[in-house]
Amino acid sequence: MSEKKPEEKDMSRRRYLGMTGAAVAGLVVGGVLGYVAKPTVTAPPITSTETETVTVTGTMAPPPVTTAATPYYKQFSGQTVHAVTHDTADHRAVRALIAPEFQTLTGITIDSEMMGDIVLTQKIYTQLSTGATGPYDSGMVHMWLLEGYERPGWLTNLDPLVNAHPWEGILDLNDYVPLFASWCRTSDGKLSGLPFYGHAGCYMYRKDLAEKWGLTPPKTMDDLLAVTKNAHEMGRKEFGSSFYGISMRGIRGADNPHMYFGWPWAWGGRVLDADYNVVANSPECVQAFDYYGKILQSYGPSGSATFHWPEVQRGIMEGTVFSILEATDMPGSIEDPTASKTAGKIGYALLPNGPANTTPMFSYTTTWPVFAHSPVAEAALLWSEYATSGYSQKKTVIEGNFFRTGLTSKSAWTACAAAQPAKYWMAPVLLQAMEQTTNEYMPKIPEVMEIAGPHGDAVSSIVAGTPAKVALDKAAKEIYDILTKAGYNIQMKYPV
Amino acid sequence: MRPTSRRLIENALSYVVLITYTLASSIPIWWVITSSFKLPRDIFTYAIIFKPTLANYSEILIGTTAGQYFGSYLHFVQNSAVVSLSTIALSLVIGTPAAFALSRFDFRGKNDVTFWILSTRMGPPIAYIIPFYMIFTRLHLLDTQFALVALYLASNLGFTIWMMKGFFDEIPHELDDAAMTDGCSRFRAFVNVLLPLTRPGLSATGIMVFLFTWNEFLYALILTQQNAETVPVSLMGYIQVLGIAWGPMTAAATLQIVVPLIFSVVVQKHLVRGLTLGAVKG
Amino acid sequence: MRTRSLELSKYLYLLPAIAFLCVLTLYPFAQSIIWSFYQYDPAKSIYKFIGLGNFSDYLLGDRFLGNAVNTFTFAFSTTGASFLIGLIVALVLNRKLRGTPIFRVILLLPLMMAPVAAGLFWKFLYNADIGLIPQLLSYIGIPRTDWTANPSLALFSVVVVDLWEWTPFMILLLLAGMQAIPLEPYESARIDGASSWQLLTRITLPQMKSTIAIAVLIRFMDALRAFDILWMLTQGGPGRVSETISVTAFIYLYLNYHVGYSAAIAVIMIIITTGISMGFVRYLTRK
Repeated sequence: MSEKKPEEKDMSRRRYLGMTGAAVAGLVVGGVLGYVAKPTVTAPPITSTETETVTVTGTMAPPPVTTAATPYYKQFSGQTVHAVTHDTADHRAVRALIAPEFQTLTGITIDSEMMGDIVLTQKIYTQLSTGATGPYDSGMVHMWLLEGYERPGWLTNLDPLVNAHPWEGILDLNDYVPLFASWCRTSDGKLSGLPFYGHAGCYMYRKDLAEKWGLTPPKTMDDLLAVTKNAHEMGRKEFGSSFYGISMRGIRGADNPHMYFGWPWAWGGRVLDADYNVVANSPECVQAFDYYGKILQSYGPSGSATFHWPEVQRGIMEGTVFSILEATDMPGSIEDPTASKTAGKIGYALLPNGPANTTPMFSYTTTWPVFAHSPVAEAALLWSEYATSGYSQKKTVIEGNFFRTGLTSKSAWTACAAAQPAKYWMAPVLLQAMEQTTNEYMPKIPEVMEIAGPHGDAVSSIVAGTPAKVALDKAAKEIYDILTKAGYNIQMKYPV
Repeated sequence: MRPTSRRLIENALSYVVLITYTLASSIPIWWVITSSFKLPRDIFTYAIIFKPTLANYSEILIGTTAGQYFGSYLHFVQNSAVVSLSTIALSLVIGTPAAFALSRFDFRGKNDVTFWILSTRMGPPIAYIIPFYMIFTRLHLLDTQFALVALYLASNLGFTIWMMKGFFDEIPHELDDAAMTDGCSRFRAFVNVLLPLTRPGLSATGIMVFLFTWNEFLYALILTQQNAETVPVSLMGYIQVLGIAWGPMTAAATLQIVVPLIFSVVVQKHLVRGLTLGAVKG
Repeated sequence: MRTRSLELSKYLYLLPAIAFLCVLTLYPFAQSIIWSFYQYDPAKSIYKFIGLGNFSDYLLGDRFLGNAVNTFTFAFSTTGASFLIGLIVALVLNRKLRGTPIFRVILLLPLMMAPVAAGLFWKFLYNADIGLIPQLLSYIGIPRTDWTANPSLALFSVVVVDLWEWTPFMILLLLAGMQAIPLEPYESARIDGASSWQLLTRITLPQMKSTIAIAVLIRFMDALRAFDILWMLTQGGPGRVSETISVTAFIYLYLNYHVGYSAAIAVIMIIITTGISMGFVRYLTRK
């Protein structure tokens, strides 16, 4: 380490050149590799061939010709569809009960991979954005991502296929709950997926405690405040300081546009108006989130600013909160006695109305699109149709005894409520909530997640104590910057 | 008299420090382990007396529910183990000679090379996800153990070299010279004299590389699907749309700790052995 | 003749390592750098050269200052604290008191837990009502509150978890360094009547210089790039109070799909960490 070289001076220049040379070489190599490995950026979506004729493959013995055309769904026998789905009870039900039946009927093999939500979304995105043709042919996509995936042509347009190949008894677009079906159409009207799972919003509360304390579900936001205050105080007297009147989400980031964007609707506010101008910091929005922050600060758990739905849900399942404003698919967990301490004690009501005489909007759908580069797109679509059909939904509930409250088929809801009234007694309220909800509050643009980021950050800081106007002004400015940079020609209606 | 009482006080204080620190760092682990034996209902209580159940473990090992993450634990563990052990072996075999060279030899551009090796560890992993995904997709190596090992090796080689270089630096050059005047070549001196002296370093480095790869999440997430999936990625699988499956997750996390525990106990024995054989004393 | 073969064999020791690192690190590194000069949005099929556009957007925007402050606060706190605590514990372990092997095994446990799992569990442990931490703190009179949701405590709450997880790493390294120190200096110093403190400062620490340097450097660099723990615990929130540069890079890559922008943030991070390490190394090799 200490041998000094006599040629130090010369060395430094040579060393410098050598380093530069190495750096340039590295960049060149990297550049070449990068160019070669550059992702394919555009790709035309698959167009379907619209023939009903039977194709005869060149085998030794031609298949027998029958007078009736071979059903469309038998034409893909022997193909394998790789679907990637969430690992939930609903999907497990489908995989266990429906997939074998489908395979026997059509000869199409289903390879269904299940994983957690975050992982799933990242894998699908990585596959689609690099133009890969696999490994998945279809998969679960949150509805707020649909527009962003459809516009670059990553998803198959299902309209031509669905129109050309009706499937009696299985495919019925009109049977889907309109709210969920509307989430599956992108802004250009194209059907880009089928609804597998969906929810609206409702008020869930401890009806046993409400009875005891003489409280009734609130009809307006003023009621909500009063009821929550009473429940909070009485609950603390009875259960101690770990009881709260209400719990709602407060986590930052882009994960909750379907709730945060819809909250101000009850005050007449929204994030973007019909022409995409930014109105996120309108007086109505400020009022709405002022309310949101205050009710959580006064009567909500102290960790609310980092709460996502699992934390909110756990509060009611553990019995530490009186009420939550949450998704209509939660009864599946809340009423499960092995997981929830309050199973059987929960009441369900519609969300309360705000000053604009409407409830806040809160809706979500998991859509099931077919990826454009899939070599077995038609087969994949058939599987999606079968798995999301009213028939399958009914079967998993009635035959499989899975308690599914995220059903997307109207006929399934009715049939399940009739067949299992002990479990589905709250169905009428849930269905009414779905009927009352529109998805107008959430713009169908690819940038929706990106603007949901600053908006969600603002909501989180409001819950943590920042004044609503300050936080929303900042968010509105950022949303405006994001959209103008993306090419929208819009204004800030309430400039800061 | 005075030295012994001072000794006693020092020892007592030492025990206090040790016990406090050990308690503080093991309480969360204790919670995880006990939770893995509880029904989901009981997990969020501090009940010391609860009805223990092995349901969570059977969920992940055998799978009473028909889900991907239930019943496949052994598959994930196998992947994690193969990938981790390969990475350690390769990084020590490739990295230790390199570290030796950097410690003992001198040549042009040595400082730059040393620095560059360390710099391979400087980028945020997020930056490299998509390029790696693309390389491996083109080479049809996605979802293979090979891809993960290659990547982990790239991430940990720099660390290994720097760690071992530090340990080599602490050994005085006189030992090399002594060995060589006794007739050894450089290489023999390296293998027979210096390497055994760095056993603590090898163990420490080996344990660290094992932990980095055993628990690594981001690359495994992106580069694997079903075949090569490792345990950390499977842990995320318990976060489901309907709620977090705390029971199976704590069970998987508990098992996840067991293997490194055994590994480090085994390696630690060598640590002690290395010291008692150490030529550095006397 | 001898020097020639020595010359060759020098490189032979290094060759496999360098070849391997070259192949697998230069490409993604170069690719990221190239992308950082482009507006690359796969979702919109945009791949356009914009020079330093991404860099100026981020560095001159509102987000960078907060991110940088958080990143450095986090890195300094966790490195400093884990070094101090680690040193004390390592010194204690080095005394080889009875029961040391057991302690050693137990205290390594946090390091063995997957950061993903640790983040999830700690999030629960911090919960104001059912979490262990507020419960324990309430015994010494601190009111129950969820640290991760408190704007002034959020970053600190993540530092605690990072400390919990990585101090064993420090301990392991420092202990190994201590154990490599020969005994003679200690014996002769003791004979000369040196105190424990003198032994520590005059013999132990100087002998461990390179080990300490490497441990601190690696820990600091890892802390600068930390992501898993931050994302699991606070996701950068509430608001943006615990958002670091890595978190922002992730958001832009995976939530907003701006690959070029995210690459630019990553390049900035690389420049920062490289700069610091170079400075550190220069300081070290000046001896």
